Amino acid sequence: MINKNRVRIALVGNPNAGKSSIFNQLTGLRQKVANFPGVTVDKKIGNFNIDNGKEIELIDFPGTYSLYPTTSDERVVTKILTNCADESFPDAFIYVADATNLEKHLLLLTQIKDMNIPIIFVLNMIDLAQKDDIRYNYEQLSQALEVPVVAVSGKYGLNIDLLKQEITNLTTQPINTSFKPFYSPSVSEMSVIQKVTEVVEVQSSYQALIIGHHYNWLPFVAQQQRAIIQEAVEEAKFDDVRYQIEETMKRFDKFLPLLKKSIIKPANVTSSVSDKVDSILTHRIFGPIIFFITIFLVFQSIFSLATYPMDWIEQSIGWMNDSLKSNMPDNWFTGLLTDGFIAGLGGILVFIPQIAILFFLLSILEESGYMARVVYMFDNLMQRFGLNGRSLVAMVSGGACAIPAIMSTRTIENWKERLITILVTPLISCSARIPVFAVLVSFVVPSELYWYGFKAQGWIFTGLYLLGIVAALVMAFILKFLIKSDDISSLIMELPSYRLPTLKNLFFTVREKVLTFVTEAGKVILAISLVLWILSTFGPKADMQQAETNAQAVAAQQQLSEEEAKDLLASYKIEASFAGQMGKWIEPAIKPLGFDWKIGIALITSFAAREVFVGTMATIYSIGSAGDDSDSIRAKMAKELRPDGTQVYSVATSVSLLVFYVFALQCMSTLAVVKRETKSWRWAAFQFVLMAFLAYVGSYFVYQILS
Amino acid sequence: MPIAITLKSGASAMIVRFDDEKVASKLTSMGMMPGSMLQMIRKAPFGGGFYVKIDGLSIALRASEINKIIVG
Repeated sequence: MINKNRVRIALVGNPNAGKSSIFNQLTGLRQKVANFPGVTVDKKIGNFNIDNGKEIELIDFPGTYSLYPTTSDERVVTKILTNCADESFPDAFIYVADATNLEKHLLLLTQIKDMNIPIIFVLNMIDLAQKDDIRYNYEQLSQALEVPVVAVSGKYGLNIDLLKQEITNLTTQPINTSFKPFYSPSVSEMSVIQKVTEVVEVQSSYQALIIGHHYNWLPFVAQQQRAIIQEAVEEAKFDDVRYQIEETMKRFDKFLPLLKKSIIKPANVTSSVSDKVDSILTHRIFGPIIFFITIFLVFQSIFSLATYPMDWIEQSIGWMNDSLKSNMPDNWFTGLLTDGFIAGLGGILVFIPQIAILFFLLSILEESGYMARVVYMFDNLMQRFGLNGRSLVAMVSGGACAIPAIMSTRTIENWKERLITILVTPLISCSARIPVFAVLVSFVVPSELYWYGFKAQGWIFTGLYLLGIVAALVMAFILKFLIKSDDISSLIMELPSYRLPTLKNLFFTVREKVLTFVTEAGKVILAISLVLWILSTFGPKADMQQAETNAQAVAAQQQLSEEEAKDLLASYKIEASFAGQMGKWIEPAIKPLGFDWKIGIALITSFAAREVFVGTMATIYSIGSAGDDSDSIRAKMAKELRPDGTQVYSVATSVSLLVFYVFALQCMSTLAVVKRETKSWRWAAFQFVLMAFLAYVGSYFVYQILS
Repeated sequence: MPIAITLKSGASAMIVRFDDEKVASKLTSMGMMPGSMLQMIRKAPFGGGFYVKIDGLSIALRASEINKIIVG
């Protein structure tokens, strides 16, 4: 028996075996998401107590068909299970298999069985198997496979108590010590096993065999050990793939007859509901049409449904700041608390509705099995751009907001395709660009102007969106050749039968995504927003005092009202602040784009979020008290002249600025999320520089041509 | 021996062998091996993948992958 107070159990099984519903049933709210070290693969850990008070730590391993991995997710499983010293190495396994299709789900079971670690075998979806008239003799099955068997329904929580009882038994009852491997290795396999056992610490000879197959990428195998294993492998003429296939076939040959004795299945399976549904949903013509309607509805939901809670959050934050400001002394601390901290907090909270809605809808598509069909339909098309069918979903969602869109790329298995999707999604114009576009577009064409029966401003808007889409696709196409990847690109994928998603699983997915965003990306967003607050509030002491004196003098001279004097002071202060100094400092660099230092300041502050551009413009043009009212800002900007008397917001400058905002990654939250999803600042920095470069070059050419 | 890609929609044939080790290793680990029945269901739009059924399970494959499956 396992004599520990904390027992670590690995939840393993094939993809689509329904592991996550078992995980949710066992752990409930006591679950969190971490990362397997070194890779961007989610490690879901949950805790629960069994009857005798012992604590179980359950780790949800990525789904895999065997210990011979083809994707980075699957590699994690092999890496941990071959290394007894790994921090996630389990004391026992819970193996989950699909009861409706058991013969395809037993290979991995027989493999981990050979590792000589206790296993509980869970026959999941027993409710569906019964509906299909599949009957099992559990006792016979348990005897044949030499593991305890529990038939459960993760969806309905059926027999979860029996599963818990089996887990308790692991810690109270003696374990059968007569270990008899399922697979008997051949002579040359034996010689490799022997050599590996001599140099690497293993618990079973099967672990040694697996190391013999994968020694050249397993990170815990040292250089010296590799050389010795390589020698043995060459000596035994141990051909990796051929031996793997032979082993697989031998295992199937052995367990299929065993299984046949304990299962009764109806002989002829008639065309199932899934097949009928698929003949429409994956139809050559209707399939793509249905997909685009579906994804348009998803996009509409994030775009429109999220507005209400978002407005509500923004109003509450604004109201809280206003009441704090009027009740607290007007000093730097109040500013830090309200404009720095609470505003930053608001910047985090405001994304939650979009994240929750997108993940609620996407999990429905994913869990029902539809997303696998999307990948099948668009595989070839998206491959040409180095992308994946799922990338399409992320990119369309990016039209509402890049944050949930980038978080949704977790389901793209291939790392390269996922990375490219993350890198290009922010080029799709998101909703935060709309206020910026709306202010600037009026300087390009008057609102009364019509082209081909439509408002000219509408045409410009469409053009800006198209520009973003084209840039994203071109960039993806280029990155496809630049990014190296170890993963072999392959489609081979099961299209699981359609299933109704369970509310419980949807709830846990949404909860996990929101929590991850708030705790991980939230920290970065708050930090950057505090830095930006400091930059735009403080400045060199002498300059700040001068600004105050000047503002007072001008206010007195022009006999301004209290409100107007306050706006004027804010305008003078932001000019003298560090952000103002930086705006002036970068002016020579942005002059070829048609921007002056005032636009420079707005570029710096709107790194917090694009829509901040409008608010900053209001402060600079000393109409800060008007808030985000674009009409008054537009009127003020229209009157702004250059020293030579020409209009600042000429057509050339305005178009140049529009192009700049289409391309530039003016969003700290996106950077924070990219950092979190790629596990490094490197990719976030690369993306920022790449998009800044695009923005600069794009704006430069536009301005030079138009002016 | 014909390759599986030549099968008409709805037609079935038995898998004889795989012409590529990577395809073989992935498909065998999913439980699809010589002796399994392969039925062609449909081809995806945009020159895309193939929807087949092997032993009654729905599988999506690329042209480059289904090209390596020899049936008879």
